[in-house]
Amino acid sequence: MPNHSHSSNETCVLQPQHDCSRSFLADVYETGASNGSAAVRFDSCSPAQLLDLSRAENLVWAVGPFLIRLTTHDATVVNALRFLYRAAPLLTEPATAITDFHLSVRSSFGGFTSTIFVDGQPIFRRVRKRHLVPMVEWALNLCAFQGCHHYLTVHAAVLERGGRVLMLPALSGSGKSTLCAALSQKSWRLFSDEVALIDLNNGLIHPAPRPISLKRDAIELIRQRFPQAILGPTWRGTIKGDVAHLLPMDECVARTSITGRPGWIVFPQFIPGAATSLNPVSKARGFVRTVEQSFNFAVLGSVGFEALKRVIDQSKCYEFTYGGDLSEAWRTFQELADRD
Amino acid sequence: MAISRKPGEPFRSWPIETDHAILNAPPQSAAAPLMQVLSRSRIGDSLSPTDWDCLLRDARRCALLPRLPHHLPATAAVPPPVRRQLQSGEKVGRFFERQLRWEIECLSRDLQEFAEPVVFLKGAAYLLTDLPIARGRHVNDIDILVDRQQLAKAEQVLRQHGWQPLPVSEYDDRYYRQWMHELPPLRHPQRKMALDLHHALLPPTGRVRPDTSQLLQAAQPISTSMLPDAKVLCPEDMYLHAAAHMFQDGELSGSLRDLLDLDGLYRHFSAADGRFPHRLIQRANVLQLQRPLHYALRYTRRLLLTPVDEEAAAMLSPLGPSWGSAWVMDRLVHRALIPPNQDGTPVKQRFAQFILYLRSHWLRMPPLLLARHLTRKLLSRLRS
Repeated sequence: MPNHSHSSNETCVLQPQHDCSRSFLADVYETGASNGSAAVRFDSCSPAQLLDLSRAENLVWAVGPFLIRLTTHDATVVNALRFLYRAAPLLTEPATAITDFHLSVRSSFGGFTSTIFVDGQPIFRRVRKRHLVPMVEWALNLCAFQGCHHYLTVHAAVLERGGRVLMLPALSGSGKSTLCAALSQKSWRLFSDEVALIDLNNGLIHPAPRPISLKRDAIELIRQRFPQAILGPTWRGTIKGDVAHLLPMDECVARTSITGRPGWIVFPQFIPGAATSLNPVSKARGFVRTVEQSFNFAVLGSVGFEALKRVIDQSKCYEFTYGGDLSEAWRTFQELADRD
Repeated sequence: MAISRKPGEPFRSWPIETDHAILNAPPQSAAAPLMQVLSRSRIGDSLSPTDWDCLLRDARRCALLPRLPHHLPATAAVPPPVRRQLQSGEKVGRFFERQLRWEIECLSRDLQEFAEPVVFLKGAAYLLTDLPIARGRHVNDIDILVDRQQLAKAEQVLRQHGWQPLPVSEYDDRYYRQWMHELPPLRHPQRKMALDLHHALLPPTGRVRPDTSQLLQAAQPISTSMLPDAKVLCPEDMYLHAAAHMFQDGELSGSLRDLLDLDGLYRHFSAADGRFPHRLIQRANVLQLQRPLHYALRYTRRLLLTPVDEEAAAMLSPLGPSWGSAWVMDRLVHRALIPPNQDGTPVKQRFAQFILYLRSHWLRMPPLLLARHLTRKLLSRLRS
């Protein structure tokens, strides 16, 4: 453990570490897969059952390593989540679950709009009904971005192949989601299209597979290129333009408890019409550029530094430019995985 | 509760007592597990999973997650899902401390040339004196106090080192300089934290005006700062300042954290020195802060079970407000401070917070000035 400078040596309730060799919620995912008692598949419950649960503040399901408790009377939201999280574990004893985030959606403004609350605090007010589902998804993003400093979090698309993880740290608009969607449809396991969760104890990366939100032109591109891909309805005119959600593969969700070790860090850049190219960058540069995309590097201090150092030590760093040719991009990453 | 009163005798305030109704409330009612853990009336072991779930939600909602680990005994049995949330909170808490230390260091460097006594107040002072409440405490801005005669010099020195006033309207600037106990907040362009430069604890236009020279005289030097003449208020003044800030000057919205400060300060200082409660009362008499002190002791005791010295409480009782005001104040404070058992801010809580906001302004300046100020504010808001 790194030695962080802290003035008090008081004993703290946090001293004993949890068993870090096992991923959090492993039991939920593993019993869920074998249809044990702790959890069932989200879509094994009927919409009516789910609505009853969510009315009673008892709809609890796992999103990556987090448990979410949903409260709402809105059937649209419940049905949408039943589709988007169909393979996720739904807890069978929700009343006694200790959850990570409380999400609730309540009608406001005489039922014409809704307000989305996280932990009792409104985060999106007066959301129009037709934007509600993408906004609920966005609220779940914010939970992972802002409220989990037991991981080092980096804004990145994350995929795995052969136990090694490919991290694509980038801002929105860099083609990260599109690239991630394409790779996830072809032999790469999706960890997340938004956030890398890096374990502070061992530097392993935790999966949090969720629907990938595709924007504008990417929706048609993915639909045409991968006819077998399951996409939700297109939500038009949201703050980010048109949005549609691409479902993660069911087996990806079922394997959420299996972490990966760092393999490659690639900084993607989308330039329309540009030729595909992959160039190595130094580890120092890779480190700094990853820090730029981290949500909580400053919050974690030396602990975060050590965790990221461990990740960079084990990773090869590259810069990747592409002009929208997804087959060529896929081939490039395939070669990378086979070579390194 | 019946209040016995002989004919002709003035109304006495309610005896200070624990509000058992809050602590024994059914688990689903207003933030019961959070209030119970903060008041140390329940520790981890006796909490059910449902209680933990509620506790974490309410702690996150009140931005108290970073402080929560310090309210649980080291031996508490904490289930793994709670532990990782607490770890997350603890990381944030350390970040707050680190950030504040750095800001204090930078400020101290900038103030070297000032060469006059500088008293650090509130959060910065708690950290510099290494008080338990400084652990995981979020600080929005640094507050320092200097003698009024030295105010211009302090401002000049800070400005030379790049500190600039936050953009405020001409009216607001005048409002601060003419009527307030502090200058318009300063900010350094390269740093995030704002600085409030005080020359008094409370506005000079208010009804209660603690004498700054008394505070400066009693202030204690600290060795942990790189500034040679750095000081913090003496323990009694530190407590009274927190009390005045909350119950004389403050609006009490989202002030559960402020109440926790008062609770922590009292517990710490009275454990270190048995005479603290008595000195506190003497000092309140000198500084005219009996009423805020009364409220501070009353509500920390009622809501957070602070072990207030019986004798001290009895001495303070006559200093409280009339029976009627106390009744109203109890309801307002409870309503405003305790997180509600529903999403968002219910109308009743909003109302209580609004009334307390008006109250703080009422105490801050004489009626005519207040009317003028509020009219100006209203007009400028309407115009924009």
